Amino acid sequence: MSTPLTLADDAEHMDHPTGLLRWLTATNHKDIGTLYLFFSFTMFLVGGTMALIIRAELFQPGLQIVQPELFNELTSLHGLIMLFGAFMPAFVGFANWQIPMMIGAPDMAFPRLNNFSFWLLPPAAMLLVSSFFVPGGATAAGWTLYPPLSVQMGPGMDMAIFAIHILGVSSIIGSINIITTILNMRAPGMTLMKMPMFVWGWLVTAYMLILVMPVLAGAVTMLLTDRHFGTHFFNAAGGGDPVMFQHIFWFFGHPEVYILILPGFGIISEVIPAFARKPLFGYRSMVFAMCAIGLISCLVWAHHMFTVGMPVAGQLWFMYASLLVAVPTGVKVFNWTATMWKGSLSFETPMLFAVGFIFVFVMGGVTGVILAIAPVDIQMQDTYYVVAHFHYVMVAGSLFAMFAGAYYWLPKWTGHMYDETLGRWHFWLSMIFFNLTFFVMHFLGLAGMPRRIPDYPLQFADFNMIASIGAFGFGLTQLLFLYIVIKCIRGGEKAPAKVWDGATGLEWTLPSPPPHHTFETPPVIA
Amino acid sequence: MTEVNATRVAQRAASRRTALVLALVALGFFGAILVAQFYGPSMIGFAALGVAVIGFPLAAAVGRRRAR
Repeated sequence: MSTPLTLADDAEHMDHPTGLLRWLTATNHKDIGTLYLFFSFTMFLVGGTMALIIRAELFQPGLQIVQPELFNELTSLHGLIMLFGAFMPAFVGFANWQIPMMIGAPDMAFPRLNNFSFWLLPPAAMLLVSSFFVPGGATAAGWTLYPPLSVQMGPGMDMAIFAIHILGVSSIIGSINIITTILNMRAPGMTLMKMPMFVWGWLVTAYMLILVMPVLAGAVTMLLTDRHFGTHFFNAAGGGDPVMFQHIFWFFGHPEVYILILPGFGIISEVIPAFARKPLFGYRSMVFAMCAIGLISCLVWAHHMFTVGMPVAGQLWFMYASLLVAVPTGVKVFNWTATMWKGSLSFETPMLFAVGFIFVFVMGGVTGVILAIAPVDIQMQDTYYVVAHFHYVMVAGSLFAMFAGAYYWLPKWTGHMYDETLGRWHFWLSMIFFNLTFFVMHFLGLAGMPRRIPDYPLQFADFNMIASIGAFGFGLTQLLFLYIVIKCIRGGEKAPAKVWDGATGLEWTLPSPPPHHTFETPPVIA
Repeated sequence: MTEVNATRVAQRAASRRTALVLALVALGFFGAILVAQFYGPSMIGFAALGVAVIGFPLAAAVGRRRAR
């Protein structure tokens, strides 16, 4: 349970540095949260720029802007940067800001480790981005790094492997810190079943990260030894098994999808009750659904590999287990809807993004159920249908949840209200352009357009043109978000302690913005 | 104040224990994947993973019980 800081402790921290040194040596969870959020948004813009180059090339058939080699490098780095550089750090940023305030703790359990965990990220990001400029270019094996391609490539591949190692260490340290904070530093009276849903989402996520990140680290370590130290783990010519890499990779890769969505589920479970002005429907079932999703997600990895030639029994297991994920996910969607039912609803920007999240995430979920069916997946494997599916889950799922959370807590973090009109513009433009980009990709996939190709036959031209226009609109809309955030930081209407009248939770008992040290005396939960 | 400090020391020690257990689980998984692939038979991998998943928390729980 949490312990109050003494006056002596407080004085010890009063001389915290300012300027650049404040950020370099930051140990305060709010400062580190801010660092994570700005870093992740920067990487989001970098990965997004790569996506726009890809969409510019695909605007019409033929090769216009980039050569096929660079195109493959862009698709690979876009995936790696978005997952490891943008989305994961963004959720860690939310965790850093919110978890101590939500559980009534003064800070994270290991503040210095927290600082170290963040400062591992910039060198890893630099390794990834600068790998474009080494001989042979960046990794072009896709974000999945499948051998034999990944065994054959130039030093850009080594840089990607090293970057993944560093990012993995950062994630594991961060997860250990989060679990320890949640388990040991909750305010007196805050039992596990009284924790906010966002904290629950992160607790399950952090356990999953500790389970699967070392597995990815092991896989890329073996790739490295295959490349440079004469081993043949995945080299068929030496008796290795390239398909084994796929198994190991997806043992990490599929839970990774849920790692990127469970904190988002937590955010949505905070936002909807606040704007429905009702308690969350079925709290306990929501907690159990999160745990079930975390567990099942570790048992379904080979549904990404139905075409490698596994036995029918294996296909059936992975098909049914994948379909089973829809049950706890359905429980969550049902409970969010039931929370809104007969609520006193209002639709400020966080709620718009939350409702938008449910709409697009369900679409991504339904296409996921379709793809989980082995005979269907064999037809659609590696087509744009898959690209559409996972962008509906990742972009519309994770990103919209993050936007909901950002608008929900931004007044708390900055002490100013954001521009509501611009926020609504941001939502509607994002929603329209997102669907313009990715909805048509379902049709492209069903018509047989393969993914990861820089050129395509003429019959795919119209839908590709629509998708490219949508992508540029979506990309530019995110600059509006940056403007809204900067405007909010610089000033605006003063935010009260309890920004939203329907909001509940310990963070709303603190002033906006919260002081440097919070909950020096832990609150007691009834 | 002494009581507060004692609680704080105990909390820090608990945090260190939790972190150590979690770090060892992560290291166990990392090592298990490498060992399983290096030695070939998948049983080694499953055994190592089994120890990591079931054995380690069990050992930690027994250790905590004995420490009381």
